Amino acid sequence: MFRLFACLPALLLLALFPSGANAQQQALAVAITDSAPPFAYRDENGKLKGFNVDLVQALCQRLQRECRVEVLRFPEVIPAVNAGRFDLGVANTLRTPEREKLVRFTRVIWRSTSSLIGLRELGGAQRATLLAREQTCAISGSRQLGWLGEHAARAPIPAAGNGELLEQLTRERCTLALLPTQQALSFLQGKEGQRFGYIGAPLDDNGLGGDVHIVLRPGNDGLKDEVDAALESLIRDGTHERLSRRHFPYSIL
Amino acid sequence: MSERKTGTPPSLRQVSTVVLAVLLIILSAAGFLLTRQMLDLQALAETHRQQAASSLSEKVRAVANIERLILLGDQLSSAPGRDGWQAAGRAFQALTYHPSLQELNGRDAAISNGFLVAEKLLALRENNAAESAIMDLWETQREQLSRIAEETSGSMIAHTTQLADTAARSARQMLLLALAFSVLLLLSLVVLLRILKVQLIDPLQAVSRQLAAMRSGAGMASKLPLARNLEVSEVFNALQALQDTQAALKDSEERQRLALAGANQGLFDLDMLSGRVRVSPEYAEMLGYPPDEFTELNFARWETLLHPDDLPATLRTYEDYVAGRIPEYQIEFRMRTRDGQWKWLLSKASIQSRDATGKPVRMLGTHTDISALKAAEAEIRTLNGELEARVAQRTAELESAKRQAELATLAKSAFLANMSHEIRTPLNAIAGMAHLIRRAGLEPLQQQRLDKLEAAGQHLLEIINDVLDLSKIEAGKLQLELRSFALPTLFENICSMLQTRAELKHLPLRRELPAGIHWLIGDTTRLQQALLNYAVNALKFTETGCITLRALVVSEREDSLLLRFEVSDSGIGIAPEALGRLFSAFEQADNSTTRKYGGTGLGLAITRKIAEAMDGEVGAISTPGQGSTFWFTAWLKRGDPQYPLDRESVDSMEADLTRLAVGRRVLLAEDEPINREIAQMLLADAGLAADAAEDGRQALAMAAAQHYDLILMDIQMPNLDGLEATRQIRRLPGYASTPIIAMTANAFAEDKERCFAAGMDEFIAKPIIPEDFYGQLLLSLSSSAATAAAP
Repeated sequence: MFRLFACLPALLLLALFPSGANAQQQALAVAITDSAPPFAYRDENGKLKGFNVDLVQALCQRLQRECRVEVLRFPEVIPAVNAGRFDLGVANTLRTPEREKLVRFTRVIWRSTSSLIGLRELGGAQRATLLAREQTCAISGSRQLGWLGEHAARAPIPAAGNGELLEQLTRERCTLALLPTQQALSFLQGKEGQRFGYIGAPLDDNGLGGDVHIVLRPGNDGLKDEVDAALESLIRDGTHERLSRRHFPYSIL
Repeated sequence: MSERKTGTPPSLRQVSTVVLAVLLIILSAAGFLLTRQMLDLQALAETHRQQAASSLSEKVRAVANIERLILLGDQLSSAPGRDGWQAAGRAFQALTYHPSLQELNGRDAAISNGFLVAEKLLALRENNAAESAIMDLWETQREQLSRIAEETSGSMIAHTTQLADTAARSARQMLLLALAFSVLLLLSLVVLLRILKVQLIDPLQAVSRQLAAMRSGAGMASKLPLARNLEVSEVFNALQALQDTQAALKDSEERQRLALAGANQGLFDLDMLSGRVRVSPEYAEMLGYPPDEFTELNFARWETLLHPDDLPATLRTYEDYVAGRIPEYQIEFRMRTRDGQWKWLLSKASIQSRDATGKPVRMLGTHTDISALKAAEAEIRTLNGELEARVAQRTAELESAKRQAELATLAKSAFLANMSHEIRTPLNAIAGMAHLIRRAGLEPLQQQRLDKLEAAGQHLLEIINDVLDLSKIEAGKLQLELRSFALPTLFENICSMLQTRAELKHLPLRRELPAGIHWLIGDTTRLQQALLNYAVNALKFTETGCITLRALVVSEREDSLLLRFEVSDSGIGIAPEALGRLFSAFEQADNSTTRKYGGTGLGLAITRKIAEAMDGEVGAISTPGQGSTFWFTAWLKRGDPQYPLDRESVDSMEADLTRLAVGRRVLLAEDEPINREIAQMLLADAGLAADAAEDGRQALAMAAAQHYDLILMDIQMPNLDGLEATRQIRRLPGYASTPIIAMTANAFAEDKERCFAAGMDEFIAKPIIPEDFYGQLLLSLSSSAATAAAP
């Protein structure tokens, strides 16, 4: 009995600092996209910027971990995290049952709806009519592309990223684009978006609206708990709100 | 010792185990319930906290976004630049459907409606509509948004207050629970202390009181409380045992004191280093001192009380014992009493302790007053002296009486021997003369008278023989002469001896012998005597019928047989009450028998002695008027065949003798003139010329002067008796193997042995029976002739 008590402090130390030394030494691999302004994009100098980039930086600081950030295209992110090549994936990922089979999700980092945008003169028509008539497009692998496949008469045109999507819209390869409301707003408030406007109110059903998460490699509960705690901490102390205001006209959480 | 308990109480371990177990169960249950309740409360509080935090942050965010909507709406309705109101309008639209506003009350009515309001405002601004129209539209919307913000803030305050109330209630509940648990703990502690008091403290205090009472010698202080557990019960029992032991010790000391006083004993305790001696009160009293004046004395004073004569031996014994030269200290000495008398004391002591070097330091012992014992010993010594003198005197008297008795026995033996000799000598003359007279030829009447004379002589001889026989047997002098014999011959001899008398009474004599039994070893003379006693009686008491002599094998061993000899008759029989007395000396069936049939009454007694000498028994079966069967048993060894010379009739023996006698000379040594004459006549009848010597000396001289072929030697003769004469004749040349036949009235067996020891060859008892006489002469002369003829 005495020996058990004697061992107790050591066990407590091990429990409190299970792999502190390793955690400080081993860098976190983070996959991120660069074509979702204002969440992640490259400025005129090619530098990676956006809400997601700032959040990853704040998160790594709060975790006291070195982070190795690598840019992937949106469709590559979940498979790469699932394969274990990355610890975290930050790509504005909505939580769906299909994805839960592949990756794990952190707590919510922001909440979104989707908005259908198109030329302003189309704004007076009914959304159903437009979907039956017009060519649509959305980002490849996105929930929006799936929704369009189900609701649009014509097969939607997939785009590799946000930039390609907006390019297809502005070059009128498609007349309607379905994308997250925050990204839509960012486009609409820009110079090229002057000609375009919301086609109806934002959509939040059928998975088009909801919670956005960071995805994690499955089987790493310890890291999930750490990341959740760090995110909670960032939200509580207002860091998240500050970053949100830096990139958006309102709180996105 | 009184029995304290009627049943075995539980042990303290059991009690404490049960109590602790019960308390543990109660406290565990209470702790479990309390912990669960507190955990529930804590979980509830945590849930509330999380809900509050989530709800509040959600609401704060919502309120902030509503305020943002209001700000964007203001910009949309009043911003001057197109880019400004357009960007604000699109942001307004984006925000209206943001999830952070979804939970707010009035979202559908106000906020979602805001999207369309923004569309209209954007259109009004695009068309440069009147400011008033724009503001009217916006103000209505603005008021709705402001109202939602205020309501949300109000609900936040209400919710927060509710949460605070819930937290306070939970805290109160937890406080109450903690209080209840504390009370329970306190109660448990009280119960424990109570049990501790009852189970341990009270009994220990009682034990303490008892021990204090025992130390002060007051005995039992008070009654011990009831033992409620095994350990206390055992302590009480041990205490009780201790009290009993103490009482027994006191009792023992008292008894010892009384015993010492009763045994005239005193104790002393010697400190061998200081020489101080502590003594018991009995010691002081023994010497006549009051106990309180004599409790302690030193060695020097003790020496002054010792008798001067006993001092050296006492000191020597003490020193020898202390030095280990003797195993124990024990000595008797005298000590002076207070009134100047001397008292004998027995002092015994032993060393009780030694120091580290082994030197004795303490000695304990007793002094016993043995004055009375010493006086008794002196008296006993005096009495012993007297007793020894009386014993010596009585011993001398007894020895004298024994000598007289032995002399009387010798005199009796001599008398019997003399009587035998003196009676046989004239009987020899009577028988011999009768024989000679009969040979000379008689008238019939003379013949009858001579028969009666011989019968009377024969009867007299039988009486003499029986008396002597019984006398010898009872003196333990019956000696069996063992030699081989044929059982049929024994029976034949007896029958031939009785044949004449049987024929006179017309009684047939029958013999029944066991098959296969022929040669045996035993004393034929005695066997014949025993059987003859029975057979003669049978003839005597039987008038008709027959007489049967029988031998039966009763038992067999490897080298011997137990034979049963029987004589059955058809005579008068014997009454049953007389049967038991028959085999005693001088007993007959009744006195009238003696008068009618004669006899000494010794025959059956002799037969019994003979049977007993042969490890056998005697007995008789009889039916009065029908007959009797007398029997005896005898152990006899199996024998080898012997072929003695056949007995021949007297006539033929005389003829043989006459043939052998030619040229033979016989020396007859006999001092009695008549017997000398009879013997000479018998010898002359056989054709033997005999020279007669009147005593041993004369016979020796004659033998020395002339050679004789046969010497007949009387034993009891004047000048030189037959034994000495024989010894001397044997030393003469040519007489080493000359037959010398004893011919004497000394008929005892020991006489016969003495004769053989002196060198004689044969033995003829007087009175001389001619048949035996001639038979013996024939044997001796035959062997003498054979010896002479040998090369």
